[in-house]
Amino acid sequence: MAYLYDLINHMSRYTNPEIITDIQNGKEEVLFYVSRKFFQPSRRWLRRKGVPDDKTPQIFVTVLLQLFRDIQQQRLSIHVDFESYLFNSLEEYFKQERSKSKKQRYVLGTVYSDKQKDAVSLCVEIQDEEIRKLLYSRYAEKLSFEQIAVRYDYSNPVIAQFEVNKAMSRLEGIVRIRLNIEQN
Amino acid sequence: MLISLEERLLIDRYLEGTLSGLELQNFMERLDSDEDFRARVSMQNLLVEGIIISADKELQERLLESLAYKKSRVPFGLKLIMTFLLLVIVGISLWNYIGTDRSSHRKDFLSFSWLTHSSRGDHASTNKADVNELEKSGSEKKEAVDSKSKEGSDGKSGKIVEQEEDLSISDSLDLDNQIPEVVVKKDQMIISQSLFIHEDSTDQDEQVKSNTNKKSSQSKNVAKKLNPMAGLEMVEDEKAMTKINVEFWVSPINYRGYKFFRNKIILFGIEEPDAVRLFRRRDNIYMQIVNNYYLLEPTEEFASYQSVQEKEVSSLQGR
Repeated sequence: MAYLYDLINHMSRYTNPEIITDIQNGKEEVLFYVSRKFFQPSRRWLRRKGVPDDKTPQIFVTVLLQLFRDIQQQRLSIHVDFESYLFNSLEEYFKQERSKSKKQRYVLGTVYSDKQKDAVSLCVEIQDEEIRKLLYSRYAEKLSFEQIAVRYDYSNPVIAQFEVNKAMSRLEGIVRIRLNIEQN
Repeated sequence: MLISLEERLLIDRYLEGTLSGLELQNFMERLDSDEDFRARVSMQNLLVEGIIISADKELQERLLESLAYKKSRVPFGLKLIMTFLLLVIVGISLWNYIGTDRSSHRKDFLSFSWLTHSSRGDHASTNKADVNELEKSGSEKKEAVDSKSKEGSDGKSGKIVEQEEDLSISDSLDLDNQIPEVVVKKDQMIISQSLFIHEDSTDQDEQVKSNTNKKSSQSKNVAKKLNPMAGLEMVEDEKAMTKINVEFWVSPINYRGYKFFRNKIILFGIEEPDAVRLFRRRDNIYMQIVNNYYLLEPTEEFASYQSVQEKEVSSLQGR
């Protein structure tokens, strides 16, 4: 059954406005479709620019995620050509990497090198899936409480606000213990 | 102390950048004055950043999983080299496979039409030069063969002619660029020999011969004694055997026959020239090949061999 679902997802086709709209609505399926569609051309492009082959998937995914968050938060027009937007972002990323010294190039994860942030992210990962998704939609996707209420079938935004606050308080408690921060 | 709901909302709005005016001013004042509040704001900021990192990590892992990228064991450069080699091998084998159909067995790489037109004259001259050289070498061969055959111990003087075949092959090889490739095979002479016709005489003839021999024996003895080195005695003996020029030929259509005119016999289809023996009986010339006898009648046109039974020959001998 899962295989059939994957197959249907794989076969589905999205138009440019559909891609933008679905990203803005936080549908992750479109992201997998986009990654399958644009990975090989992007890989070729990166290889032509001299990026090692084994680094190409990581770079592509990083750029795609950046794009995904940008579209989600900036309320981009649906008429923007997604393909050219992706390749422009890749080029920008490539220029940034080239400006770095040789040793620092394509070393991923340096943005998240802060130990505290990493510790918090690990604390988030050990949460239940429901809580994780709730927190992601509020803070990663930056959805309003009204939108969260609609997505998770809460009767009103106040309940969504309460649920989010509850999840955050729980996470805060765990993080404080993990980072050994006093609860004043 | 954990962050309260109202406070969390306020901090979120500050972190999102949606606070403005009086709210923002009050928030900043509190941030400056209240150390605990400052700590709570930084804690909320840390939590939000941690959540974003976690969300990104999770999504990134899922995306990488869906891409299913595996580093290939064979390097890309090696793959290109292998592909190139494979193409070259396939190309060569295909070239050889197709090229064998051509009668000239020549493969012209980069045969430009404008080049072939201009170089035709040069080709012709070089071909002519080649032919001349071949002819020269052929004549040299011929001379060498002649000298060898003259030195032969069996007393037969022969000429082995080989260059005709060589020339015809070389013609077809070298001139095939100009002349349409039509190979015309010709009659080929194998060997030209001077053979003796043995005189097989009957009993009466032998009696007459013996009488004449007795008469001439005295004169022979005198001649022998006078000049033994002149070989006059031999000359007398050889008169009984006449020499005739015999040419052995091969026809591409395997023709078997002969032509006998003046002092020359042309024989077609005889594969073993050494086995041929000629003898005369009752003014007829016979050819013996092992146990087969043929009558050779003088004719200026080609005639087929007339087989004669051994009995007939012996009966003739018996008369």
